[in-house]
Amino acid sequence: MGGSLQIDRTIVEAARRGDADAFETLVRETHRSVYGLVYRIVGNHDDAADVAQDVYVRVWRSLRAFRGDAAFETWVYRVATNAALSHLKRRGRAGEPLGPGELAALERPVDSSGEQITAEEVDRALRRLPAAQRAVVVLKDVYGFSMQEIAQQVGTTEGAVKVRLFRARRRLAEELYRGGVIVPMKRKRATS
Amino acid sequence: MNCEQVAPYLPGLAGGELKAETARWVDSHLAGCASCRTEAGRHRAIASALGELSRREFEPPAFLVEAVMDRVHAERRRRYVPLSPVLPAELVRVVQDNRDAIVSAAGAALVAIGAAYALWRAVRSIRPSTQPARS
Repeated sequence: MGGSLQIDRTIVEAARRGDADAFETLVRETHRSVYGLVYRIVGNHDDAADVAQDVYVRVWRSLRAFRGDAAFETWVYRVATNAALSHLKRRGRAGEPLGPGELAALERPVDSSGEQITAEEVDRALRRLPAAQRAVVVLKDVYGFSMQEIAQQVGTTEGAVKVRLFRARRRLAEELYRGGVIVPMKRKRATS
Repeated sequence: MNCEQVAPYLPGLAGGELKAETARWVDSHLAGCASCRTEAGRHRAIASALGELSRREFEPPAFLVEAVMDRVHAERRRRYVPLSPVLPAELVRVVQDNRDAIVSAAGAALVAIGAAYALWRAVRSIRPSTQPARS
């Protein structure tokens, strides 16, 4: 399972029975990770705060129906991913990279040295990916979810996730090439 | 095999996601191809940098938990429907908290009453007259 959260099942069960204090505990334990995931997808703090609130209200409304088939944290991440992608769809921005204003805070001169790629450089490239591609890279390579879990979270098949992840990683490398962080490989056609 | 065939597998190799047989096939190419080894190293560097991102948390706004719980408590109040007799003050509060639901229910009731009345009128108009026809 991806993510590093370990949620006490008894708290989940109490919240499921309508205990608001237990639910607040769940919010306090998960809100940093959930906010981080949402922020990485929507790209700015104002929208991330709004979407994160919506996530927890949706979770509260659906909690009684939560049967525990998946871990609570996986379920919350699923709600968060869907809410973040829906937010971008409503704004008509699901296929777009983040805008220049949203990138401004991270813009700095590229200082590529050898094959070292810094987290800042890869984060900047990641933000240039379309939202749907950015989401699968974030879920797989940043949060460490399995293909199956990602498929559940984004509501598609495992095969579709593999294809999207393949394209996203290729695009990520291209963005790093474009940013001058790494130099494209000259591919040989000859067999070796 | 050539470099173009191997290239799509390099990110998966860096992430440790390839099946053993595929990984051996890619490794056998890398053993004899310096440029693909360089590319594989880059993908490991990208994977490592992405892993580094996982250790960075964004600080949520301080009001987030409070704002969430305000909305949750508002939801609870909206859903609260007393089953026992209530005091007038309590009744006023329940009406205020459930105003939207009450207005919707009243609207639905009016529509239902209107439909029932229209149906009654229609049935009445087609019922055969029981009085004898006047000559």
